[in-house]
Amino acid sequence: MRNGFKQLFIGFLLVFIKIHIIVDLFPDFIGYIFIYNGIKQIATISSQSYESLKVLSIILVVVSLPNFFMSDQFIQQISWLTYYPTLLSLLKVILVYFLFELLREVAKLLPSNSALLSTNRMFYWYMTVTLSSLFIQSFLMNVTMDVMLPASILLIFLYLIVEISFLVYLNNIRKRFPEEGSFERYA
Amino acid sequence: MKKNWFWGVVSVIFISWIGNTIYFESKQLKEPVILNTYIDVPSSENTSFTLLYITNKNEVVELDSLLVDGYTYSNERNYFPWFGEPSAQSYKQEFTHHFLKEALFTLSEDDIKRLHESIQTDNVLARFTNGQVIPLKVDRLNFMPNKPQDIEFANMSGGSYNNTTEREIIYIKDAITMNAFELPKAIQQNIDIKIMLWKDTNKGSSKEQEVSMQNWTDIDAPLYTDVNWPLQIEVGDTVGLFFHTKDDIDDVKPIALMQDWTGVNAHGKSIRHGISIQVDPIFSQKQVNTVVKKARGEEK
Repeated sequence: MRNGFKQLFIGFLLVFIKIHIIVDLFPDFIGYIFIYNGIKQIATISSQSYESLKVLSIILVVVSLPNFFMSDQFIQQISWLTYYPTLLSLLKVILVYFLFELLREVAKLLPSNSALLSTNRMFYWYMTVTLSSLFIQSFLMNVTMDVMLPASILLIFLYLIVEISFLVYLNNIRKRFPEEGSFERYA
Repeated sequence: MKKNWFWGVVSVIFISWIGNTIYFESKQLKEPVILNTYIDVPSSENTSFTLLYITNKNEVVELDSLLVDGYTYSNERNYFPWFGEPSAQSYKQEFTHHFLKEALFTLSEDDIKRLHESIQTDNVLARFTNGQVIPLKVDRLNFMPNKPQDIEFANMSGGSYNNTTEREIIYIKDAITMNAFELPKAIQQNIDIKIMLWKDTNKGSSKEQEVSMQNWTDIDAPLYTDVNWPLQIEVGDTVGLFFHTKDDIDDVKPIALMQDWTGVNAHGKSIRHGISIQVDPIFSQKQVNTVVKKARGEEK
């Protein structure tokens, strides 16, 4: 179980960080492969179905592949690519939505109720921030820069906070499970 | 039920993106638009003039050059972004979906001759950095030989003191009779002029300066169309001409004009005074919308 969460953590970390020098040094598609592996391990150990997550992870591995080669500047220059980052964000939110369904079930396996509470809290924060960001972003193409700039800065700030919180949450949940092997035997 | 709210929100986001994209696309220009302008000023050895144009905000497009009879004149205000940032743009005014940009050209006397001939046959083209070439269509682009001012006039002050009003205060050194001051037809709807006559003033008196600082509506002087022409002006009088740009009309345009005001002096000799009129309008979103609608064929 710990290893599954570790894979999720590494996967979301790779998706979160983007340093583009010729190519993305933290490729998103590798991140989604890690996420898929993590989901598979967690779902298998906890005997949960993960069909939707499997399909979404594979879609995201494929869809995020061009992101490995394209910098943000390059995407901005090509008009038909303008909506590509939005599509990736939307698919990622849907993936995280289904992931939380799995995580809620996994949290219930722990003896303490606090894991379930923190999972629910994280879920509502994550969904509130990311979904409202996507909604607000849709209007930014039709406003002047004096509105767009502060709104963009605020959205980026909220996005950074919620993504870092999500990574911290994954790491904390991982620590709540016993060392590798013992939980599997218990489960 | 839990899933329903999520898919409901995702649907709203999806519809919002589609709605905003359709609205955004409905405001885009197929090619940049060079704004109408009226330029009729004296030429010099090297004469500079500016053209304003509108581009889509999300495309980095600049007016590269004018093509005149096989010659190319480059825009001297081309923008070279720092660090090669390709999305950085230089602009004069920003609107919701467009940038208003300015191009500057400097022509020699030979270039001006070439431009005159080509502009009369609608043969001047504007080339943009994205490769688009469009014909240059403006009300007037004329550069005439420079003429000296007559000695009966001594300018005291001039220039702009707010965004929409310019003034020219002229001290009269000799008795004169001035004909009606007229504006070219193409710009009559763009500018209002008030003419004020101060009797027996001393050069530099404070009366003129006080009026010069007033708002257009507060200037207690008749419009040039209401003045009883010809205007008798005696030695020591001062004339104030106040130009007000009507910035709320749809056909607002930049104007650079040296307009002659003619008359006769006490000896019956014809005299003239060149009055410089500069209009550098600040465009409103509504005016740009009108330009865009015309360019998209949605409005005549």
